Amino acid sequence: MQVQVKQAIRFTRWLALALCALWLTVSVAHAQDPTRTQAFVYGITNYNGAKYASAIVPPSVDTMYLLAGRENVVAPRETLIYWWPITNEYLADWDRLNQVVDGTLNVYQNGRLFKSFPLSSYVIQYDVNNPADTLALYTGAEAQAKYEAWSVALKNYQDALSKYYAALSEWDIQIEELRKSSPNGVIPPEKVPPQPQQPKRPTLLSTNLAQGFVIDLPSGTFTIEIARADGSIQPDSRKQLVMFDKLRDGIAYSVVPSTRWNLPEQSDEPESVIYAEPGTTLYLQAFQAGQYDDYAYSHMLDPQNQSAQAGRAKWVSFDPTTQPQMHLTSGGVTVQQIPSQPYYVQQVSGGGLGYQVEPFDPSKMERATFTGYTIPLDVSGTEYSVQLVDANGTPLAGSQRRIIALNADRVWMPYVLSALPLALGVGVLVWRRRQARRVKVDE
Amino acid sequence: MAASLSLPTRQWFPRWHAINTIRGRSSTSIAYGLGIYITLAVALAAASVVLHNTVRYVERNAVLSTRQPLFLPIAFMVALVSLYLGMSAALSVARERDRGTLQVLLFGPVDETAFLLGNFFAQLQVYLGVVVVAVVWVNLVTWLLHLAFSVPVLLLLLSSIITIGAVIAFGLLVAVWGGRTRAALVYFILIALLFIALQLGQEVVNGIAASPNLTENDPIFLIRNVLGYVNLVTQWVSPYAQSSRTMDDLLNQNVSSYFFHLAVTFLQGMVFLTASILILKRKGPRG
Repeated sequence: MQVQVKQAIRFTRWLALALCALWLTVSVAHAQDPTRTQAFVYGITNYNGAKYASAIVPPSVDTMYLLAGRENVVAPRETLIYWWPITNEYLADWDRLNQVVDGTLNVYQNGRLFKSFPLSSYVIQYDVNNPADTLALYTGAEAQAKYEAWSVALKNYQDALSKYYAALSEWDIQIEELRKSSPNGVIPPEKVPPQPQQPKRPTLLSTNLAQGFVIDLPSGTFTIEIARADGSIQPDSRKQLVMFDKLRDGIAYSVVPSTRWNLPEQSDEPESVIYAEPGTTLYLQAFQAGQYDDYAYSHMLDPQNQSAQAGRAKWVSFDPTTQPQMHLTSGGVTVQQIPSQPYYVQQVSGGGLGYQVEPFDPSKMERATFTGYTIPLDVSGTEYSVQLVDANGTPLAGSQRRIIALNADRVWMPYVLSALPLALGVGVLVWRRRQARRVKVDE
Repeated sequence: MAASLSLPTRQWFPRWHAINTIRGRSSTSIAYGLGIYITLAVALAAASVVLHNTVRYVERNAVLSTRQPLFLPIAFMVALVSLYLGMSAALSVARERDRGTLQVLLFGPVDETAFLLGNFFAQLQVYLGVVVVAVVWVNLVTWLLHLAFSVPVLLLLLSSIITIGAVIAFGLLVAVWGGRTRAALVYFILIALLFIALQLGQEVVNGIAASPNLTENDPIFLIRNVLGYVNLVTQWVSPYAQSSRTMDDLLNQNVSSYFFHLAVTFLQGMVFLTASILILKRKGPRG
């Protein structure tokens, strides 16, 4: 009995130790919560060529990159930042602290004051149906007015939506009552009350009204800092600011072979040639695109970026183009004008994997998968040039491409041709030997 | 130092004659050997393998968008032939010295400048023949596979003459600096392979680093940055680094940068050639 009690005590001790160890692990896990420190940061709202995106510039980043000749927002903020080891970058805890730093943004070039920007309220709005043409950044009183108008429209919509749901509920009750009072539960159509109509959702989207320096600078390298109201300089506000230009405009294509919808090939450069297998039907989706310096562009989107490399250019694709026609030429003669058409992609059912691209039929299909241009490459040796034209028939710069059906079945021929130098060498040796023999005979 | 290279105008005529004689004999000797033909055949076969890979991509994925499918095959071909010609230049000079024939030559109407320039032009003349064969190969392949004919491909082959010139000059420099034949050969191969490896390594690492699946703290970025810094220094002495940049310039149609990098390659060749003449003068025919 005594032995059993001792064993029980020993077991309890071990259990207590194990629980202590477990508790310690739990407390260690709690300690991994990243430490937040108060810091001055720039919150930037940058124009990326088609829309606005936001990023944070922590004190560890010395240089900011923004697109020249466009309005960008640099917002001075006091916030709590913490190091996030998973993505190896500083993040901001805006929920705990997000305080605007009052002052004036001074922009210097070559040591001289270039321009000063006061703190201003701003708002960004666009229509979801046509973001490219409606995107706008409003500042000052206009921003206030636009934001208020949007808020009123949203409030009206919410009110109308509430009324709609109330009316719909009432309508359901009426229908139920009519059904009960009708013979066999069938309501004559003329007695059915009109169903309430759902209000249309506003298509205009807006950011909240915020404060920042709305800057529009030419390309070049500048130095910025914030002068506070008392004349002192905000610590950590001094940064290099590189304003860069787009290198060139173009049209990028996503080239989809009919059999491999899931593996599109990207054709960004106008100088690139699209090679395809004979017998393939290609579908080309066109996108507005711009060429930028890779390092500057990547650092604009993510100021803490470590992967971009200096001295390289990159193409960035934006929204799909809606140009009506593509000119298909062969040997300098226009052979076809291909209209932009919606297509539906269907996965082949059964054991055989693959995809089937079909013209979109609204009566049978839910919605189009993509809109593009069809290029059939029937036989090997086919070569086309394609170019987009606008509604007036004007060719779009940077949209031209060559499309070639490759003679892939002749791929062994370069190997055979590689033996040509050997044949030449043997020929030279034989000739030399004959020459030497002739010299000996002559002697 | 500059004075040792300069000669009165009347002495340049016999020197030029000596250069021309050495060039003619050396280039004939190379043309009558099978080595250059085998090297060129292997180089073109290697280029075919690279091209085959591109064609196979089209077969597997049905489509490929590329600016110059022949650039990489030509780069492989040029790299292989340059190694052979650079080695051949280093061997011909080091061998003459080992055998003592260089000393005999220098007693005659040949001086150090004529000897090295003669050897340099001999190798370069052979490469001009290689370019002719390569142009034929490129055009036949373009026609047979139905690739897009491209002027930049021809420009790349033409600009490779300057690259090869710099590599040959480097081979001569290694030969006069390296001493015995075996040592010269080992030095040349090691340094040339290091240059090629640095260039290829950076291209490969850049390709891996461009993958969107990598996290920001991936060690590949450190390797890429280190290679980038090393290449930043070696690009001024490596003809292969300049060749890679001229390729990029041709692809991007950057005319001013293209001529700048060609000029840098030409300067590299001039510096290697001048240095080899000066070293040979200083060390003498016995080394």
